[in-house]
Amino acid sequence: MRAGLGGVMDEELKNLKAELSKHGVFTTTFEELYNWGRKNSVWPLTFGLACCAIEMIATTMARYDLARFGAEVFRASPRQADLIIVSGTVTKKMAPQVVRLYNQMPEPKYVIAMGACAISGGPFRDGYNVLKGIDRYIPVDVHIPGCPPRPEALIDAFMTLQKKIDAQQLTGEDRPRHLKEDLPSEFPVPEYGEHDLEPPNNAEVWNPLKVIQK
Amino acid sequence: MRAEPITAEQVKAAIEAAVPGCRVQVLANASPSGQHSLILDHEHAAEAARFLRDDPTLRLDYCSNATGVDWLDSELSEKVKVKKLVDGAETEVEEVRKTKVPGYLEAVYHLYSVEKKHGPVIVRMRTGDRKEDVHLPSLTGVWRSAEFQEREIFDLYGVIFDGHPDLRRLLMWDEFKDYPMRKDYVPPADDDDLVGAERSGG
Amino acid sequence: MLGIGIIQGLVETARNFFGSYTSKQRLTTVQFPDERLIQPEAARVFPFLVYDTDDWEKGLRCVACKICEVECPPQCISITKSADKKPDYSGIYSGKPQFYPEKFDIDVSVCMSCQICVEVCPFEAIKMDNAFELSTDDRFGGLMWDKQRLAMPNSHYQAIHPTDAAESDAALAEKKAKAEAKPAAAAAAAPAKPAPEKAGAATER
Repeated sequence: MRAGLGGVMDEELKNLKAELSKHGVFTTTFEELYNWGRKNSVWPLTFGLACCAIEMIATTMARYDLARFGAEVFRASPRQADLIIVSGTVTKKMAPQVVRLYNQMPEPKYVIAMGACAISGGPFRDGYNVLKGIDRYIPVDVHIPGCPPRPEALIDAFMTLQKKIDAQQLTGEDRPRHLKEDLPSEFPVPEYGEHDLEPPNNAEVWNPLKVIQK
Repeated sequence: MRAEPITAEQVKAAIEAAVPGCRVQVLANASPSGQHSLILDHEHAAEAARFLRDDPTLRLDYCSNATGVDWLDSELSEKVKVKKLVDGAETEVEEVRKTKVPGYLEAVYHLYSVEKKHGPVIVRMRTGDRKEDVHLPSLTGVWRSAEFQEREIFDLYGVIFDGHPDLRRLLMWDEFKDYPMRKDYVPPADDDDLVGAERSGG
Repeated sequence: MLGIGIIQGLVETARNFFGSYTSKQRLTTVQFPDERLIQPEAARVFPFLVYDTDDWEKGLRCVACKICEVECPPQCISITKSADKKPDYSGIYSGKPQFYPEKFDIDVSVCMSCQICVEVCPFEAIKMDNAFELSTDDRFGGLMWDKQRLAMPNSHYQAIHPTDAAESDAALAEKKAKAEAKPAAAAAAAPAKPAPEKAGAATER
C-alpha cells in the first residue's frame, strides 16, 4: 500500500500551500478536490449476507453513525452505489451474484470484505458450499478481520478506504483502475460447474501468497 | 396434563393395527435420550403417516424436522468357534468371520403433536442401497413442512422422494452433481488454500 | 382519534431530537475515532503471545505444546516446534530449558475469536487482545501474523485484563512454587540418595 503522496514536487506544493494559507489564501489542486469529494461521499450498496450484516446495520444506527463519514444513504441499486461491503459468508451459490452486482456498479467502485468469512471463508472454510474469500473473483480494497468486527472496526476500515482514496493520483502510472483504459472494470462471472464453481478463482485477481514449506 | 409418554411399541402396535400389511420395526436408541425410532416399509409408509397424523389419540400433526443419514458399506467381523481339522486332529479354532453389511441411506422424521402436546415420535425409512435403489416415498402429502426438508435430503444425500411435488436441489445449485453430506464425498481440491496447505503440512 | 399512534411516535422522535441538544443521554452517538466507548474488561478480539521480561524472543512463555493448534476450531494456528531447547530466561519454568515455537503463525483472517486457544493453554502463554482497528488492504501481509507480531509483554496483558492477569500471575506463581517445593522436600527427606534429580524431573511436567 502506498504510504501517501511522494516526490519532491509534492513537498514543494505542500510548502507553497502552507505559505499561502498563512496569508488567508486557500489553494487546492484538482486532484485533492477530486479525491476529497469522492472520499467524503462514498455510498455503499445494501448488501448484507450473514452475521456481519447485523454489525453493519449497527454501524449505520445512532450509536456508531456511519453517516458522519458520508455513507449517508445505502443505495439499493448497484448502479447508484460506490462501495460494496461484502459482509458475511459468501456461499458458492451466491458468488456469481456478488460478481454480477460488482460488475453493475459504475466506476470508481470499491470493495470492503468485512469479517473472517468474506476475507477467507472464516470458520466455515471447510464447508461444501463456502467460497474461501470473495477476493477470489473481485479485487478487494480493504479487509476487516473479526468475527464479527466491531462497528468501530468497520468505521476504521471506512477511514482506511478514505485514506486510500485520498492517496490516489489522477495522472501518471499510479493512477487508479478507473482512469486506466486498458484495465478491466468488469470481471468474469463464475459459472456453476458440476463439482465446483468454474473457474474456482479468477487468476487475474487472486494472487495468493505462495508458502514455501521447508 | 401430560399422560404417560407414548412408547415406541405402542405406536408400532397402533400402526400395525390400523394399516394392515405394514411392517414396522422398532430401532432402540441406547443413548440417555432414549428416543427410539420406528422403521417403516416403503409401500405403506404414506398410509401409516396419514394414520399417525389423523388418529385421535396420536394426532402427530407437526413434522418438525426431516433429516438424512448415510450408512456406508461396512464389514461386520465376529469371532466364531469352528471345528476344524488341524494337523490331522479335530480341534476348535477361533475364526474371524467377516460379513459384508451393505450400506443404505435413511430419511428420519421427527413428529410432534401440537394439539395433544406430545412427542417426538421418530419415524425412519431406509433405502435399498446407496447407488441405484435410492427411492423413498415422500411424506409431503401428509405433512407440508416436509417439503423443503425432503428437498434438502435429496440435495445433500441423493435420496429421491417419489410423489414429491417439486423435487430439486435446495442448498446447492441445480447443475451440481455430488451429494455433499455423504460420507464418501470428496471436496474439490484447493491447492491454493493457504491455511489448509499449512495445516496438512504441505 | 385517528392517527394517535403516529402522533405519539412523532412526539417521541421530537423529544429525542430536541433533547439531544440539551441532554447527553439522548445524544447516543459515540464520535469514533475522537470518542471511544470504554470496552468491558472481558472484551476480546484476537490472540497474542505473552512474554515476560523485556526480550520477546527469550522471554516467550510458549513451549510449543501445540494444544492450541489442535483445539482451534477453524485451524488458523500453525506451529513448528523447535528441535533444541531454549534456556529459561524469565525464570517461570524454574530454570529448566523448554522447547519453543520456531514458527507460530495465526491467520487472523480466519480466527473467529472463540478464545478456545486461551482456555486450553496450560502455560498461560496465549491470551486475548482487544485491539480491533486492524483493517488493511493487504490480506496476506497484514493478516497472517507471525511470532513477532503476536508477542506482547505481560504488562500489556495486565493493562487490558487486570482481573484475569492477576489470576494468571497467581496461577503461575503457584505452579512455580509447587515445582520448586517438591525437589526441596525430597532433598530434605532423603539427603543421602540422589533423589532431587528424579523428583525434580517428575514434577516439571
